[in-house]
Amino acid sequence: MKQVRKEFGGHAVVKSMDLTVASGEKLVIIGPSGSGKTTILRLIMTLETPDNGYIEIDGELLGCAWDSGRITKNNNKNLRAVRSKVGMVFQHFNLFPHMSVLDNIMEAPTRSLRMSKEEARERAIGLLQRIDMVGKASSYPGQLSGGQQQRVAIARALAMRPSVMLFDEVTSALDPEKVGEILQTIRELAAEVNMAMVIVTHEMGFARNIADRVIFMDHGEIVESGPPDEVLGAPVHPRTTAFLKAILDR
Amino acid sequence: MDIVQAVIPALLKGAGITLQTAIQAGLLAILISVVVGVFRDVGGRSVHFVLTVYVEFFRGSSAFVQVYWVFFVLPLFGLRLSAILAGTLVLGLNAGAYGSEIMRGALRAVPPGQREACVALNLSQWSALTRILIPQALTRAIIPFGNLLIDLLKGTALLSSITVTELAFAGRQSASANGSPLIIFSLVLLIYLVLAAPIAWTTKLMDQRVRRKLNIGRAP
Repeated sequence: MKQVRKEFGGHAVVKSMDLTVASGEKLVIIGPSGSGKTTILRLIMTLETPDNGYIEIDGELLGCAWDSGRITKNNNKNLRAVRSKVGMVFQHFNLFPHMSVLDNIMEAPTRSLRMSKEEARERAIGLLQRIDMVGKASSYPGQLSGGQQQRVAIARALAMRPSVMLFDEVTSALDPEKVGEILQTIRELAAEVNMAMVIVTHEMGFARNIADRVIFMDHGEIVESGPPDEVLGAPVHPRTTAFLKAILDR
Repeated sequence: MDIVQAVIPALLKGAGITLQTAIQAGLLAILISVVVGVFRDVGGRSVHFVLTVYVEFFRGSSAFVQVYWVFFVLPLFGLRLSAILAGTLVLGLNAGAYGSEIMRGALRAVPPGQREACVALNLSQWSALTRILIPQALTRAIIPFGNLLIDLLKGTALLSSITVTELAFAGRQSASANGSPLIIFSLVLLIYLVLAAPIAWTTKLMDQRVRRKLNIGRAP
């Protein structure tokens, strides 16, 4: 991600951001609300288009192209090819309510990767075993608890085998007692799969535990970046200190 | 009661034509509703323009005159349609114009998170529409589509103006031949009710089933 800028109504939510995520790296982004963390994920997922700058995934431009030294927007040809390497889990799950759990997971592999039904079903059932939800394969999302829905949403994103997975405050909409199970699922996943993860969260213990690197953002800029022990344990910037204090005093 | 026995065959025959016209025009209307409702928002600018003209024309002008126009004016341009066909087409196009607005609203009411999930799963726009967004919009459109179809059923009475002996026209003929407008027109009303009731029941049942399955609560 190079010099990426995003404005909403004249207000820069992300200001000239440079950010590189290594293959397999677990990056956690923290910061107050409105600091632009979610916007960064949405830019990488192409849910927003940058006003300036560009994003590359594995060396390929995402949704844009070079044209005689300039970036041109809306290159739809490579958009889907490059985007298939990115997956995202949302705060509000966004499962398809009219499809069973199994169909939710099978939908993208069969439609987008053109996988056969049998193969997609096998992959889906494997994922359901992993999240311990095989028994709910034929249930509809509306019949599941929030925690169960979020686990299915994680399995659904995993079914596409992305090389980078984005987690957008995935525990914020859950009951407090369900938060642990989701964080545990993600931790297990991080340990098993060599997949880059960009995680936006307010769970500081989880951040410290899972992150290779933590970024603290405020007002659309990276204020501080480094290993979790440094950023969370011994922050140097006063804004980081103030934010962490506010979070821990909750 | 003699009068009832005397007019019932003619009324039932009229009801048959009403039903047949309503079913055919209804199918046409639903098809148009979905296609126009979707493509007005996702098609390009020229598609949007053409479809908007269609919708505004049929919503904004009198259905009565539209029926007249197709039946009496089109032949002047060499296109002669049977009264039933002309009537069915106009009713279908007319209801389709209203229905497309129902569909458009229903599509817009699908939560934005669903579209975002489609992007995140890298579905093509076609897959996103046909597999995710349209099915969810349809679940929200069941009740309003039911209302539309009931309206359309009653609207078939317009066809009496172009010589189609549907239920209302059959009633008028029977009344002028036999007298007793009270009994005959009461019968006609009753038959309309009997025809409309299944539409109301079916759509209500479908809506309840869908809501139960998706666990989205009771209809307001």
